[in-house]
Amino acid sequence: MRQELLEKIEKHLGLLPASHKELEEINQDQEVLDNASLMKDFMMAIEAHGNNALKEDMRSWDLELQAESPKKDQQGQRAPKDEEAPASIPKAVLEQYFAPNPSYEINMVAAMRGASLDLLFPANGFEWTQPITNFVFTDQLLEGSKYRIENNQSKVLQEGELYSDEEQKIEFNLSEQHPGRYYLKFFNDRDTKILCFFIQKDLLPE
Amino acid sequence: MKEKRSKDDNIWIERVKANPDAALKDLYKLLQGEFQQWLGDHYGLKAEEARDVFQETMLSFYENVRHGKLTQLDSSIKTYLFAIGKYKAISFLRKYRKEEKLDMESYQIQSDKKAAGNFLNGSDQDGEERVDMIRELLSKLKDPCQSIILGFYFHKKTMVEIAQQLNYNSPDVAKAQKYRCMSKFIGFVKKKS
Repeated sequence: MRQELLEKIEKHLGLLPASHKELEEINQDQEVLDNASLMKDFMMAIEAHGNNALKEDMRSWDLELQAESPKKDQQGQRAPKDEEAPASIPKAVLEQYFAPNPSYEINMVAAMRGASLDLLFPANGFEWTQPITNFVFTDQLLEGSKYRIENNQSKVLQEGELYSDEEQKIEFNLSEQHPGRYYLKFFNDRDTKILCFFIQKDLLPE
Repeated sequence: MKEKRSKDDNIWIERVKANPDAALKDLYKLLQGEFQQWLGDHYGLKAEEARDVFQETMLSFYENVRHGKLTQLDSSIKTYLFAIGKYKAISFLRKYRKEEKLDMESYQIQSDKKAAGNFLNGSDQDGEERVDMIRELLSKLKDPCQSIILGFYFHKKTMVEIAQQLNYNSPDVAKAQKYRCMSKFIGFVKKKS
């Protein structure tokens, strides 16, 4: 292939700049048109080849990442804090978005009547950037109570006991859960309290 | 803050244009863990699937930069990539679920439609074979032709940049070399076709 012809084909395919007049002439050149389909196939092949080469590079970057920190790949690495991460979603929106467990909704009103216990954190649902988190409450929890975390299908996800002589701390692994409405139930021989919370992950409208 | 963030992150576009390998590597390493975990948490993708979706996302980002479709960010690079990733994950899930549901009956319907389509539109089998053959030949290309051809046609580098990369005296030397490489390569392709 002559250099002049190659350049004409490249101009025809927009790979090299060309004036309008020049393009008009090139687009009528039969030799250019005859070779253009081959060149189009070449461009498709080079896209695929280039992408494959990049994927090969990415595989080697993965290996480098694993070598740098074997746990990073499994646990996920936290990127720098981003001010543009999905904004906190109002609780009212979460309540509409995630279905409640109807029987608990009635129980909750009765159980929480007159109680000052509520969740300080999370106020509007846990964000997906936190794999494991602690709950923070507005008031002391029930003394010597057991607790249970359930999803809205009443499936028990975690349970334990809270001892009054220790820090009343509940750790919950968010990474294993789906976005949705969850319940945190405290109960002892005398009383039951039910709180509801949300895991929103990066809830965004589809 | 948002404007500042997107302005700051535009540096990624410049870096990718100037030195794609180094810039993509840095970006890949910066976001890989969080991105893949997000795909797993939110879309239920397995580790391998999340890795594929993340890599496809990076390729789309690079393609948009290469083809001049992305010249400026209106958001942070992270927001931009996560938006692409979301679309890729949904496409992946749709495709995966569709394939899961595909029984023999629907497969037959699909095949019939495809056959009818080929009959009406003309089969592109020859074109596909030629693309595959060219891909194979490209993978066998040796340097400097590999670097020049990939640099010019894939990475969209200028002859000045290619000349600098290969330590040539001038862009004209790179241009002449590119012509020699292409001429020889097209000759091979025509001979094989």
